[in-house]
Amino acid sequence: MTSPDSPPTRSRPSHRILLVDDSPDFIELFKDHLVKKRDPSWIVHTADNYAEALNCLKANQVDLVVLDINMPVMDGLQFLTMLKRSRPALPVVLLSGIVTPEKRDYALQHGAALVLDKIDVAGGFESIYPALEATAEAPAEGFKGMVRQVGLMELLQMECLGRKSSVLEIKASNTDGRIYISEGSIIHAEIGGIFGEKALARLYGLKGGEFHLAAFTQPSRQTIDGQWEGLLMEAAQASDELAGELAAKELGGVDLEPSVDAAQLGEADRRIEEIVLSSSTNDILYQWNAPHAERRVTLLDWLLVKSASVGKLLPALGRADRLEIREARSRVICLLQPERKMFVRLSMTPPQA
Amino acid sequence: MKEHPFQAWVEKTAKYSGVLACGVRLANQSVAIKSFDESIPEARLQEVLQCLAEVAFTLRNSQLGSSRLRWVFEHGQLQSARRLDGAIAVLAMNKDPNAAPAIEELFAEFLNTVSPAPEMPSLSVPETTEAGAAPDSGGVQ
Repeated sequence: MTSPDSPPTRSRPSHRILLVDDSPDFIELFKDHLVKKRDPSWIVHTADNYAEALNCLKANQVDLVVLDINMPVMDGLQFLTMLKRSRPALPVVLLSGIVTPEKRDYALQHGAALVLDKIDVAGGFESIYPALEATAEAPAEGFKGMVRQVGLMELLQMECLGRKSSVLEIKASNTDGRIYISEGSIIHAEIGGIFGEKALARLYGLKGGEFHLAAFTQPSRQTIDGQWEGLLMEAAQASDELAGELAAKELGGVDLEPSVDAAQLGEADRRIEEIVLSSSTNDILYQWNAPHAERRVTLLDWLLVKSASVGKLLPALGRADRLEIREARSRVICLLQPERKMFVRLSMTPPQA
Repeated sequence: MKEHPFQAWVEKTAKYSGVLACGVRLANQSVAIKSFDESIPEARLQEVLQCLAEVAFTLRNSQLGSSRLRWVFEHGQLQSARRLDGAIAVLAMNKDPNAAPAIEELFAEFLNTVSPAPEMPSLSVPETTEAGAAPDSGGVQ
């Protein structure tokens, strides 16, 4: 175990990180990029085996553990499981020479905040720095520690559920956007001259880019005042439609009519009646007005299994995202992703004539 | 051999933009299936129809309804409609944004098609599935 060689030089809180890797070259490379070139305020402890890592954790306060999966004696995934049992709130980032989907899924299901390809890391520290910083800055409790193991939508859900105030800044290839969250409510979104719910849908539909949370600042105006759960679900649906519209326009400049769904949703008075959010291990993360939340979780899990079956039968469709149940006066949306499942029931009142 | 009551409807879907394949499963488990895209084999779609019937059965038991389902995937979607006589239609769609009115039109026709009563009425799905017993999800309050 080595002691940190880069004491903090700034007044703001420094990030205390433990890097566990048996490759001295990689450790040097890591330190060189993170501390010497990027941010001298990082305090980097290192350990080249798990016993040293445990000793280091006993002796020092650490905000983040970066762990090589391929270590001798004990597999990194086993160590992750062990570590999470004793320190569930400690964020752990895993590095692997080859990140197979199975390894990645296992790691995320067992509490890793982030799984990185070691080769990419070595060649592109700049790109992972914000991710490590965001993970290290996550509070010991709450949802922010999950920042990089979930997508944009889940991050928004977590911010809203936690009644946080923040600005989610999204950088895509040629445009920047922002989503303003005030005490758990989405109050404003903007991207490239588009504002409000349309901007939220556009931001949610972005296929690449970076996002990070910034401290809350008041937006110049408030363009959104809906319930966040419905907004996020609509954003997901609208982004699908938008992606299709954009593709069609690229193909032939077709003048499109709004879909029947969109028109109906726009005119009806919607009211959220029930919400259940569950984890990959079927723990209830959030429930609202859900007296049978556990049964909903069972249903979601069963639907996820069914989705996987359909996905295997028709691989051309890709991975399942959600199941929507439409009745004349109600709508149920089941978000079906292995890492997060969500049940939202809405009542729909047709507009008065 | 007697033609399936919804064979004409199934054939008709070919001319609609965005439809990759379609199928109808009656309560007596007879099916009519047509695929217009090699990535959706008809035999597989038949299994999907069975799966949809199970899902619809479970949702109905949970008082969540199942008259219209939209199963959204990464590259496409399955849209389904269920008639009061238990017949279920499924459309495997790509993400063509022009498809929405066509779906409504097709399903309106499916729901209004007059079909003979099933010759051998039976439960549309078994009580348990390969994934275990279908859950009781709590219903609507």
